[in-house]
Amino acid sequence: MKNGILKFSFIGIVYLVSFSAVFGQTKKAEAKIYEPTAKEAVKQVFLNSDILLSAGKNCEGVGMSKRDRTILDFLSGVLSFQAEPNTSSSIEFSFKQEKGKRNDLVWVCDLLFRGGDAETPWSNGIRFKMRNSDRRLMRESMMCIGTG
Amino acid sequence: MKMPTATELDGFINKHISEICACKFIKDSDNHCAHFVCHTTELKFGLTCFGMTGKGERSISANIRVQEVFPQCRRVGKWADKPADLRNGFIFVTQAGNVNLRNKTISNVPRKHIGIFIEQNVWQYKNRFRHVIKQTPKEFSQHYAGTGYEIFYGEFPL
Repeated sequence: MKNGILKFSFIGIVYLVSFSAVFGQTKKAEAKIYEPTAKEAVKQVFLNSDILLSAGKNCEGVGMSKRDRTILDFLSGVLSFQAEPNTSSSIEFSFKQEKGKRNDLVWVCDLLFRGGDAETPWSNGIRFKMRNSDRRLMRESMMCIGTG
Repeated sequence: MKMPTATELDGFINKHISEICACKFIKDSDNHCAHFVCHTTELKFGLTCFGMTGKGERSISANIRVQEVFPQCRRVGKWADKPADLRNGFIFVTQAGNVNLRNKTISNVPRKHIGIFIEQNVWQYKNRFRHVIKQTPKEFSQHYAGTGYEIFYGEFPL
């Protein structure tokens, strides 16, 4: 009888500890919302620069040359124009929160490269989604943005 | 697609983009040449002001890229070769090498510009002045300093 009570108490404690751990972890995971940094976004873009322009939204014709096929080609062209003399260049990074398909938290990031002068300002860049949980760029979300 | 009249276009003269775009894509650091002509013609294919800001409504948005407007034109060509029957449409200026008339493409280079013409008048959003101006095709052809620049026509898309 005494053993039975002890066994029951032990199982109860194990359940309680497990429940607290799981509940605690869930609360902890929910609380971990890290806003993306510009560095993080740029790194994700470099890591995914093989994405084809044909697969991105609004990416048709954004290449500076007709041979441009990938995000790498596109952004290389954009960055090369920032090296032109008398151009004022800057990089703009912004983000906003969104709920993903599985109700998970994703960040919509805009990385915009600006250049030109008062007569011809130009901007080119990309918009993509990044999961909050694993900090990875969602390749299917790639979109080309900018005007000019 | 809407074909604006000269009177309607005159109504835009001296207006800042904030008085034209209800989608709040109105930063002076952005280029509004394609944005302006697409609002006047109600062209909303490709990337639009609404797509950039998410503000306003998709139904009143406008395209914002010269390189997306050019291929949509029914006919394109050098201004000097403009058919006599073409009395209105778009007018483009860039280095001749950036344009491929056979493939109907214009490269996404920084120095490219678009206006809208009716007969011998051109309306364009002059980014440096931050408002719409009216001028002649010859004045429009001198938009950029330097050599190698040429003007092209584009017939309105359907």
